[in-house]
Amino acid sequence: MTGEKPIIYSAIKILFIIAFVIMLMIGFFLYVTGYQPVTTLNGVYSTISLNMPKDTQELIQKAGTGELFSEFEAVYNQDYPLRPFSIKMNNTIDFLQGKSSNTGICIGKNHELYEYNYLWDYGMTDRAWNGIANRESLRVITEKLSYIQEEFKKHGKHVYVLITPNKADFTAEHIPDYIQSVSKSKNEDTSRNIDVLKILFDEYGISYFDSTEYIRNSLPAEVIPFYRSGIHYSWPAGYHVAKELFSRIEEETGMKMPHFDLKVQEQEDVVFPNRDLFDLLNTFPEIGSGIYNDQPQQQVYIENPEASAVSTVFQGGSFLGPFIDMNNRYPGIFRKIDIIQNTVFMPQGEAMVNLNTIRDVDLDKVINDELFIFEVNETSAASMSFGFIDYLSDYLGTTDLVKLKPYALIFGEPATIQPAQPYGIYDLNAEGIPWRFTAQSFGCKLENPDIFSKGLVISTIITDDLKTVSNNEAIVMEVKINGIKTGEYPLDQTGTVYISPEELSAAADPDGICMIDCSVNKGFIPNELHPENPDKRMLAVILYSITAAEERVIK
Amino acid sequence: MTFSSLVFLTVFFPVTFLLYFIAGRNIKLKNAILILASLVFYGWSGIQYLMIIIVSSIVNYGLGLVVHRNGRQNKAYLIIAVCFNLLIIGFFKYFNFLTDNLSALSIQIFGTPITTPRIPLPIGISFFTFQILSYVVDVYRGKVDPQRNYFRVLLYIVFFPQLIAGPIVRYIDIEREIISRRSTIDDITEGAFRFIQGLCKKVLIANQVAQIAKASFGNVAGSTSGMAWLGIICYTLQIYYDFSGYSDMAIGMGRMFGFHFLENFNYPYIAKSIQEFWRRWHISLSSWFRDYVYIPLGGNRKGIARTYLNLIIVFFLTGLWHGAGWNFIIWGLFNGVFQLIERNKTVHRVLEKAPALLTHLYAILVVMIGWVFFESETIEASFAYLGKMFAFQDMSVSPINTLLTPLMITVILLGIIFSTPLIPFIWGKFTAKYSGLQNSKSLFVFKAILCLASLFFCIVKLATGEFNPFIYFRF
Repeated sequence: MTGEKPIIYSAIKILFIIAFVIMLMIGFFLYVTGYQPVTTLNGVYSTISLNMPKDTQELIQKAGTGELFSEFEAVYNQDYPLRPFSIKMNNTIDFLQGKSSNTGICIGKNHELYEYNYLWDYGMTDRAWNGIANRESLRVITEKLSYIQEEFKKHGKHVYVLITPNKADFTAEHIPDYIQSVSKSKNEDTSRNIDVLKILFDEYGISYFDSTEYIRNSLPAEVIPFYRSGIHYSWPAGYHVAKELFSRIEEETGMKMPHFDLKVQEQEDVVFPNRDLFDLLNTFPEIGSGIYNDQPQQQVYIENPEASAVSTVFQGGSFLGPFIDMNNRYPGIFRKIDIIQNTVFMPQGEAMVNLNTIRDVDLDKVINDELFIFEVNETSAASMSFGFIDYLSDYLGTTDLVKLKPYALIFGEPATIQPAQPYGIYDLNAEGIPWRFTAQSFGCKLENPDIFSKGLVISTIITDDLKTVSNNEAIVMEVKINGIKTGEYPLDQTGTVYISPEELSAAADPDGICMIDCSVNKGFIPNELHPENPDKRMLAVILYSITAAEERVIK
Repeated sequence: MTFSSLVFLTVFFPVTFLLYFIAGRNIKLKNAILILASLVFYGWSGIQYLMIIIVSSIVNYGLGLVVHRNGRQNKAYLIIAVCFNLLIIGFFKYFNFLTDNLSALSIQIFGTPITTPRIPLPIGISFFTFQILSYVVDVYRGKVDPQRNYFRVLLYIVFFPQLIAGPIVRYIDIEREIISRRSTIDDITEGAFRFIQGLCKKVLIANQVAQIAKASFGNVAGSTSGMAWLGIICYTLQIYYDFSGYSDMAIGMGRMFGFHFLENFNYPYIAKSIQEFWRRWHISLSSWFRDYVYIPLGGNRKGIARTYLNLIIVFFLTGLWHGAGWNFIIWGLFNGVFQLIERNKTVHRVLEKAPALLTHLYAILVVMIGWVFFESETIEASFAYLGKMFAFQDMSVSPINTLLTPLMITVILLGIIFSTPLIPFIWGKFTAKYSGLQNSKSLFVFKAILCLASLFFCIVKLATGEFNPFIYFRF
């Protein structure tokens, strides 16, 4: 050893050995002490647990075959305390060199993120429906959509299809070359799902809004349509699409949709790459986000909001994110909104809903809404809105809309009672009836003078609970038409009130406008009626329908 | 449990290491700890398999004692020992293969298959059986004295660093160290360096290129010629770094526990012939076959025809040793045929006089073609893969482009560079110029930091649970 002090040299070697052992054992030490580093993983779950043998015989059997030890090893690997950190570090390294840790996500040139499904569809390859037979399936599903549309129209409902954009259409220059080359080599059919669908929609008269065209031609220039770090349209672009969609629906159907102005502002925070993915990349955002710093980020605000008067069902997928965001940030902008989707990720990455199957949706709970908006995008075109159309079509085939039994209880304190579902089905041939609801009153505006000559039936639902708790106490509904009280009507067992043509005529406005206000004498709280009853819910009468008299049999 | 599993790396090995050193200089206690740890290590795959290795060790211990009793050789006991060990390996490793083939034959002739129970393959059976057989034969030959202490024989057989994937250690090489040994600080540090080096080979190179190899071999129909070539290049690197990495870890751990195993690899891919390749690849196995099969068969002493026959037998057995499958047998015979060809004087002369680059290319090409048989599940799949390689139709690698990241390309290039003695050559020149550097404290510190950083990175990679196959584990 030339010129070195052996003792120091030996000490260094011993230090190395100690460091070596510590490095090997640190994870095990943390495991034994139960300490878990704070780092968490998205979409990576602990699913394996150690199945301890129930008795000695099982212990011998499992130890004999090695099953016991392999189980332990699997659990140890899963729960190894440094695993989350390791995965993030590994993924970050991969990400920085353009390799995605998620098999569904492609990192394009300039770190532009894509979903592979959209890229394959952009390149017209690997399509689930490629071929004439599958094209026929698109026609079949469009026919179903047409059937739904017709059925709904009979009851004053509307269906609207929102065609969402494919990022690849707008950022083709960043698609990796190998995608392009595979696409070219495999492409035989040059028409895309959406193109075929649009032709079919036109043929069948399906109402739809193609947001791709809107984004390409009409989106304000200052709005960034797609972030490099995102795989869907940006939130500001999504809000603009929503505004345009509502505007068109209102124009075509007369339904009162939300009105608002939009203000877009730049923000400093980068939209991290793991905030907008179905399955998250699990990188260190602090490292990965640096790549996206050169692109401005935008936040969108609503100004001068005016709420809709339509109960709406949104059914779709991840592109509904901005709609959910809008509803969360501006509650009340939709009169009532039911959102059904597979999985949608919010700006902060949290999953909103995760249905195992679309048939988990209880259609009874949403069928009485007035407007149904279906998201259809390129990749799910083959299954059209996650099979919802199939499901709804089947449902309507076996269920008569008018005979639907509303399930209804209104919960909560009277002052805070919101329109609960369902509000009722109106068969008045008077579209666009603006329903009003307050604590224990409800009403509507009629603009069809023909009704006055027929009389009016106001149907309510008196729930079994209410019948029970009210005992024999009469439930009385007071009806006012244009502010004039026409009478107090005891609700019979069917909860139906008949207002004669004479009563109507007496209160009718000369222009034929008829504002109907109904209020119930009281709601019932079981606990108040019977102190021993623990039920403290407010049970009230629910408006079911207002119909022209001759269309409904009065008992 | 493999060396690159988290349980081994973070629990079993360091705990065993600490216990071993707590034992101080008490060699009996040290051996006891190593035996116990080794039994746990082997029993991890199923305690039932422990019975095989324990029974085998007891029987061979006894046969070792009687095969060379009182200085006299006893051939009958040797035959018993050989038969016993071949029966064990034959039953556990080749029974399924035999019955599968008989069943296929039965279907052809009688239209019905033969149904037999499936025999599970105990891990490492090929390694420890050959190791134990070499002990008995060496005792018979008088090269070593029979070990009278059973536990020393047991330690020789079950010592976990070399138990399940070699190198195939001869008793003669560690006889003295089993009886008496001590680990110096230098042994431990150098052993740790070697262990980390092996781990890096395995985790940072073999596991990475394995992804491309797997993608290529897994989708032959959908691959291109370019992808097939890239796949076999990656597999060639994978199998070398996988196995030599494991050997490095074994040698490193052995040294940390005071044992000095012989090298198992010597840059096999720089060979200029298949003969040379087999002198550099899996040295402990090829030397085992040389000493215990080829030479006893007569070697090259009984004429050309017999030499050729002996070589074919050896390489047939080499193939069969690797796996109970026709593809392994073909792989072995394929290598054997090239051994024969290279023994031809004309070919030999051509190879000697040809430019080194050409002979390197020849050897590596033959090796790579051989690996196609080695890796493919079936013979048909091997030929399909070779067909794709040599069709030269589409040299793009687009189907696996996502895997071919800058880091992967770097790993492949480094893999190629490190498979040659280029770095040691440059380092040798460098240290020759700056004498004293080799033993300097600063260099040690640098090396230690580099090793610890590499170890950390290996643990990170392993903790992610990413692709971590081990090819030689199944033998």
